Amino acid sequence: MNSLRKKLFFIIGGMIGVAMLVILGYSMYSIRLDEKIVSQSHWYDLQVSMRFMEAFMEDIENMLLSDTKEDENMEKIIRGGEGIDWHMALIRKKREFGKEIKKYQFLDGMFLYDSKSRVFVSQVGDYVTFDMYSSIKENMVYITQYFEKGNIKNEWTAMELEEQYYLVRMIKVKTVYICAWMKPEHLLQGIENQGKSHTYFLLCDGRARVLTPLEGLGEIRIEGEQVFVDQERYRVYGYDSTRQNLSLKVLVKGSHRQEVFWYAAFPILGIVCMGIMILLLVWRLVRGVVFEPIDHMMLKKTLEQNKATLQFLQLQIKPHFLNNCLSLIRNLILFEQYEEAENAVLVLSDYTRASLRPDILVTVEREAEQVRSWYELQKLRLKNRIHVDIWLEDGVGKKQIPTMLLHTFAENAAKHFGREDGIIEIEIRAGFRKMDEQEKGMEITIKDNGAGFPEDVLLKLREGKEIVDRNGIKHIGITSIMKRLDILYEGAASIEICNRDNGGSEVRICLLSQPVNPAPGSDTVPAE
Amino acid sequence: MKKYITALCMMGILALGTLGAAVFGHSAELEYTKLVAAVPFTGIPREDVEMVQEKINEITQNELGITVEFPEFSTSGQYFEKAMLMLSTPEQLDIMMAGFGAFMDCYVDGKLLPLDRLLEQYGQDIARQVGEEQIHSCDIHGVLYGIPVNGDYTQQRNCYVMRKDILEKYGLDPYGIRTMEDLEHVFKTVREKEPEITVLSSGAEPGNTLLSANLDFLDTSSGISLTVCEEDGRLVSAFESEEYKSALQRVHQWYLKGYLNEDVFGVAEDVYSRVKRGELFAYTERKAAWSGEHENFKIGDMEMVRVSPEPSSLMHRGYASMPYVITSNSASPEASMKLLNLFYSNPEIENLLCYGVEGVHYKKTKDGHITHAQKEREDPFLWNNYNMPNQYISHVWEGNDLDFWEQVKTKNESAGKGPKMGFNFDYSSVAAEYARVMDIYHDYRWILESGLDNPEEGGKKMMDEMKSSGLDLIIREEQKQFDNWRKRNGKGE
Repeated sequence: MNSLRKKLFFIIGGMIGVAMLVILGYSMYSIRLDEKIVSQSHWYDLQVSMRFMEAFMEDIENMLLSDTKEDENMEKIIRGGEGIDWHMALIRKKREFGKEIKKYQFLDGMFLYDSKSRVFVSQVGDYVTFDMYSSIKENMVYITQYFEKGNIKNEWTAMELEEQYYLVRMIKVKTVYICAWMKPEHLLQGIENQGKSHTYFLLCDGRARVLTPLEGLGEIRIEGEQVFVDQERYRVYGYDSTRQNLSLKVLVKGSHRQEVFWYAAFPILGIVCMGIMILLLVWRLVRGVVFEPIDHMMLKKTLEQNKATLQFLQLQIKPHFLNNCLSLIRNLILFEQYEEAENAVLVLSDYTRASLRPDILVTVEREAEQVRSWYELQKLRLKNRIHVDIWLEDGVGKKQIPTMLLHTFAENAAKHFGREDGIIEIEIRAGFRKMDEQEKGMEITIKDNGAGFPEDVLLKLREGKEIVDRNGIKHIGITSIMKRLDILYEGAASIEICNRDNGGSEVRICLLSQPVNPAPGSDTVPAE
Repeated sequence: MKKYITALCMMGILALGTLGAAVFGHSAELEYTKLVAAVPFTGIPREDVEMVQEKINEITQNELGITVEFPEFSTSGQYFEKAMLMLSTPEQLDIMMAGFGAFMDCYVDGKLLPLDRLLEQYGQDIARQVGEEQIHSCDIHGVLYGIPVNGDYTQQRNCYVMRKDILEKYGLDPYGIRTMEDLEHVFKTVREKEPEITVLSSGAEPGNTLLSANLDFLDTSSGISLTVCEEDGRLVSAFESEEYKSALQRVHQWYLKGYLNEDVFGVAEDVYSRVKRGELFAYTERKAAWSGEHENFKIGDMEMVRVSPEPSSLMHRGYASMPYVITSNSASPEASMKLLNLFYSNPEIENLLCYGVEGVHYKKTKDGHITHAQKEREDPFLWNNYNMPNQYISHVWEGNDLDFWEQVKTKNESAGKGPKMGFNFDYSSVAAEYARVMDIYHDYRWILESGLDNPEEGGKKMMDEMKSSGLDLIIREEQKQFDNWRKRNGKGE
């Protein structure tokens, strides 16, 4: 039985395990897939933004080149000479810069620096603070040197000035440097979703320097696919510009492992819960449909076996007693006590009819009746030398006990009285007794005034062994009773056999008021 | 089939319900007419303005069934740019303070509504409060387009704000500066003794040159005038006037003497920061006359004093310099006039506009003045009140006479008025020329009015360019309109 249950558990548990593995595998797979899609969509977004920036930067580049070509003001500036024309050229250039800055959304400033006259013409947009402007103005010479060294190439270049990054595009016409510049942060403002739901866009230059520091998040160094910002893990997707020396990155909060966990946690939890529920359901169903009927069947089988044993044991008693009775009746006939003999035959027939019943259990009343029949039979033989006293407590008579329980001991007492003279006195008492807290039990005592049990017999009885006398005859009555009690009460019945101090023996039987294993058919009393 | 019909019925009911709700919701919204009024609250925190807006709405809802909204750009530093931008769209903008030259620009763009009929019907209180002569200084071709604010129109021009510590250090008496020679003496001393410090810079507002505070026709707060009126009623180019020429000469001399250090070709830093850092000795300013001849105040830790070598209070372009107008983007000109009428006549609204919310921004003192409500925070509205419609009916700030506004009114009336006062030149017929000439001026002014170049050569070049761009045409047109205006108003002849 238990092995069947174990098997069932193993099968269902295994199924759940497999389902969990499948889900985990599927989760991993779909996350991988999802990740691919997400990364592609980020890549696409970044590409679009980057293309937009590239186009924008190229527009400015073109503007810068075309504005300086064949420009009257430029010529005047290069010519120099401090006059009103030169001044006006400068001021008009400044105005031109202002117009261009208004025209290009992210263009933050333009300046012109003539290395000959050291004049600096500049205009800035609304985004620019005075500090930015003055840091550019003050570092003008450095910027031009930087350019001359070839650090600023003929493309947009990131340049650091006083801990601020600027994207500059510079061209040189003779002695004049003209530059358009923008703040990378400003450029990123064109990207939607910046900073939303823990997604940050960053602009990096060719050397992977982050040009747009995140406010309040400190410095970020991007190496590889993951980055820690403020002790939080971020994933990094990037798109490198094909035309500018820039790359656009996006930081997305969270890691793969975390995502896998969250992705798989719920399905797995669900599966486990469902598995437990299925297990419980199966358990209940199996118990109702499979186990209980099997149990029942097994029980029935055992009981059938028990019954057979019981009947066999019961039957073993009968010839033994019958033999006694028949020899008694023969004696009566021999002594020509026909009346008694007739009476004895009647009582015997009563007695045998009762004992022929196949019942395993019998009411105390009926058993007492049986003992009385036996007593009548004995009286015929022993006249007044036998006296049986049966005392039943109120209500005990209706309780069931194994058949032949009282009778066996009464008969045993009479048989082993041990003396030829003297009155055989047998006292049978049956009453209720508390077994323990709940169980209501019965106590039956059978006392006699005979010789008592020999010590070796008592020992054997207590060990439950069969008793064989000197003549090699098996005395199976008491052991049979004991076996039956064992079967019927499963140890909840006890027989205490002892010799009394003032002679005779005492048998004390304690048993439940109901047998634990009611023998099949025991509750049906066949019609007499 | 039955199911489909039921579903259809349900959908129908739902749709009807939604429609009903929408109609109902809409009708609920229409309870009040909402007007949008661009009133400059320059630099005032938005939440303070919203507080004021809420209070004003309580009054206007009660009195007129109108709510008013001050648009987002009201607090912006670029009020006029953004207002003009808004006017170029069909977005609702009912009332607008069209100062700083925007009045004529708006008119030329056709963005102003004529107000005569509206004023007659809904603006009786305005007529009473402002006065006939003042109102009609906003006439263009004899038609009313704006309503002047009631405030201080007299100005003390050619003011110089100086660092007191340096003056004291070299024994220079600010109260002794009576002539330009006295002024130049001060500059000379500072230049010699403090060579590290820039002597003079142009005023606080970007776009101002050294002369902006000096000459009436260059006052950027009321729009630049290309002409000045001769005694005989003839209009001549302002840039050929002796006044302008001598001013340029003076500035050029200052430049040559090294008093000036303007970042003409770059971006000018505001003078307050420069003063705070100790890099600047003085700057020019144009100030309301009632500030007093010599005013002492602090910038950061620096003690400053304002002096003027010519302490005359003059009324320049006058009442039309900052009028309230009703724009062509108005949802309801009638309601707008009603609202303006309330603005000009309701002291509660006026005080809210001028000083903010009582108890939050300002509080009354025992003697009937008002002062800051909180010790730790200044009333953010305080220095913005000159933009508001009828300051005459507002409270008087602590430290002034209780009849302050009466005094202002009298001063306005008695102040010297130029011959062009009340005349508004409609340049729409010469718009292209006007724009070109203005551009030329705006380029040259930075060079000439900062003293960078010899004004004789530069001035001549500028005039040549202006003339070839049609300056004479503009002057002819202006003369024509000016003559008509004089005839209409019974002036001259």
